[in-house]
Amino acid sequence: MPDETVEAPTAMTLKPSARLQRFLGRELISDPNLAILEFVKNAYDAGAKNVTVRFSLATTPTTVTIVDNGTGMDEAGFRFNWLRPGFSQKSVEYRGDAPPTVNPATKVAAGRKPAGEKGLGRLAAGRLGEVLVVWTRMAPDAPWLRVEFDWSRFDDMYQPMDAISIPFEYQEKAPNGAPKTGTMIQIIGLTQSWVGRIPGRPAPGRPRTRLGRLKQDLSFLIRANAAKDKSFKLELESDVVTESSDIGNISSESSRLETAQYIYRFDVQASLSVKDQRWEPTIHREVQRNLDAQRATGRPSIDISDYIDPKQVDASRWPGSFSGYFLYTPPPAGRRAQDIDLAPTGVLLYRDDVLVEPYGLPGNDWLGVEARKASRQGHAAIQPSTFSGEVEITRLKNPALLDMSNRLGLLDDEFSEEFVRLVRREFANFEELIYQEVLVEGNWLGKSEERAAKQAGLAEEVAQLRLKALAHRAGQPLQAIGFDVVGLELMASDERIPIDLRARLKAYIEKLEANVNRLARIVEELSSPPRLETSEFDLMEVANDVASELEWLAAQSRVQLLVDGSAPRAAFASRDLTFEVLHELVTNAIEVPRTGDETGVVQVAIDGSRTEYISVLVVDDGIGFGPQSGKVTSLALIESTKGRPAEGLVNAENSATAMRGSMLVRETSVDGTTVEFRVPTGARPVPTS
Amino acid sequence: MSYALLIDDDPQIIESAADLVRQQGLTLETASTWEEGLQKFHAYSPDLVVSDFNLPGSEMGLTLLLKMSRIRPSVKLILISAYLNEADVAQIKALNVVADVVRKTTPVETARRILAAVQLSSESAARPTDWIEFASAASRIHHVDDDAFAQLDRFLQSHRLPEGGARS
Repeated sequence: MPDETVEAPTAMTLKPSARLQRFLGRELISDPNLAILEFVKNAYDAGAKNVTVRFSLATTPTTVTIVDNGTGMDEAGFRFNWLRPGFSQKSVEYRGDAPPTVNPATKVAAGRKPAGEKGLGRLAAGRLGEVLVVWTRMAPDAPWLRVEFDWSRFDDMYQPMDAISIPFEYQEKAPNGAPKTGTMIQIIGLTQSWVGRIPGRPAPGRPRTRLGRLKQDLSFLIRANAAKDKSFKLELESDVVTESSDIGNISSESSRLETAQYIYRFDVQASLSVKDQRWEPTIHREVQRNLDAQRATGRPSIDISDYIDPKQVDASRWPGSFSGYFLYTPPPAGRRAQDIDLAPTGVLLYRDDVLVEPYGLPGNDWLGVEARKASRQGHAAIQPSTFSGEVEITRLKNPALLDMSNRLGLLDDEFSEEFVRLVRREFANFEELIYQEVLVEGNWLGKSEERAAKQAGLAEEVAQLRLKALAHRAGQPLQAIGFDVVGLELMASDERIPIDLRARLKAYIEKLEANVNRLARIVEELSSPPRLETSEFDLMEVANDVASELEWLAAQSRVQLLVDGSAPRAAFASRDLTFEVLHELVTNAIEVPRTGDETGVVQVAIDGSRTEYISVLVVDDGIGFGPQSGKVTSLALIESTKGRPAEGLVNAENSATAMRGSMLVRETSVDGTTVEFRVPTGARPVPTS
Repeated sequence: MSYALLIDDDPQIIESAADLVRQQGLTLETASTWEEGLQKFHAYSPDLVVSDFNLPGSEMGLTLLLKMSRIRPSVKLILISAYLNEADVAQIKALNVVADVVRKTTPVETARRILAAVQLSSESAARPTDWIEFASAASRIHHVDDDAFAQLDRFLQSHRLPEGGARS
């Protein structure tokens, strides 16, 4: 008789619910931009030469389509690559199905190494939109494989993940815009709005619009076309844009190398001492100075050195050899405008040409530049805004440096710790060099006028901070008075107090409140003093900033606000003061009383035809400054037509004078007023009449 | 019994605010640092916390407020500040962590708003728990965008005034 004893099971297995996909997609990839970057990486892996990210936001449902002309996939390839997240590419079988006839993962373009390795990124599509449709084919005469993922079906927590069916079919024609071969991914019913600006204060170094940020992130993504793979082209399109610069070709070519004052290249190699199993790092360093730096320091254009690190690295920590460069680019006064503000300033980390997020992206200070700055106690040579660079690692040389699954960094272990330590040491070395050459020596080498200007800048900074702090302190007792006034107000409603006394008390309280508020406004002004530092800037840009800030006021006042003049106009003055003056003039022009019910018009016209100044005309169609001021050109003599003293205009005139510009009323009548604000170009003094 | 907690390092503000609130027969606990505020938050379980931003101990940034919200999602948080500008205020509000951000630019109005909030929280504490609001508060806190929060928090902290002002 056969032995029928059944052995008791000694192991268990996991059976995830379908909802696990939703958790992974939503919570693993937190940033919607990262989800799109994942698809672009996949396209890059598939050997695509052209990738287009196309938003259709004007129609409903909104969609984003990522089109690439890479190798595409057949059904087996799709199953193999898409339906087995987390599996190794080397595990060839798909649930017993045969492995794909051609494995696209191996058919990447020459010089490209797969950027994605775990296949988790595409789960993030569920974060972007409700439905994902994939169209793909490998040959121009093959039918299209169409696969549809409806993510809502994965919300079912009563079904195991592999019980959710994902419908697919073959179609002869793909939607418009599909490549001859390759893959087209459509994400339909986008969950977030991609239109408009991101509310609030702009993050330093980041565009203000959502699409602009995506474009910037995409421009960081691939470094392939820097040297090896010039054929890779990436484009962002959208039928709705907030700023025209938000879309277009994405170039990862960096002009920063050309404009940098210092380029510091390093190459960290090591040899293994067989005897004690430790690595001996050798660092090859090159310091390259541009002409300005050579002149200022009297040093050669290139310094090369090799450094043998006395501190050997244990084999269990050695991250592998790597190389990179740092740039020091002090923004010249005249180039603080958008191109500098938006220049990437972190040190980006690339593995096989593809960005490893979030290293060096705005907000990620993995090299501790801020901390270094703090340790210099206000004398840091390198500010985060003047410093950038790239570090390159590869799978081949750095197999131990692994991505975290959520794509937010390298796996935190001894290897990555040692890697960061080595890169930080290079940064410290570079910072020391800049500190010595630019700050210590530079202070003595510069002309006395430059030194005085630097000192004046520092003094202004201290004065501003002091003023802010004083304003903050003055605000405290005012707030305490605020509580006391409300206490008095409540007391004044006490019916036990005779009615006439109550009325008098209330009158006093009202006056007290008005004066407290006036004082609070003054304190607020003191706490945000404009920067007086003179620099070269584009006046057109300031005018546009003013217009966009006052857009709401114009709309509320039923006034059409127009800014004329498109070419850049370089002014040389305090940008903050210019903004303040223009803001006041335009506010005044919007608020000026008008006759009739028609929509008012305020025009800001910029005329840069004069050498010594740029003329900004603020033209309104209000009732003018009144009969007394028909020929008056001095604003100090003008009384307000709004029942309050023309305090703002007088302040604006003072500011214009302080910045060596001028302000005058060109004409005013019952049909409107034209005020001219002359902003110096730095060439010659500005005439005042 | 309903409690409100005011965290501010200025003794005159504390005194005037406490006088005003107590004059109305309401309760106000006070603390002068965020650490003390957190201790009193645990000790008194206030329904409302009103806190200044630029305080000793606020190196921990907005994290303290997020921490309080996560401990008790139904707590109403009001941030007051003389130093935040309108853009900061809009960003903080968008995070859905605090119920209101009041700038000290109109001190009397600010005092009125705070008194009204204390009165309101006292009235709502006297009513039975609104479980729907409780659940939606918990869900709001759950959906706080951690990245945006951390980014803003870092920014605000880096632009914070030095303690005691720049006296150097």
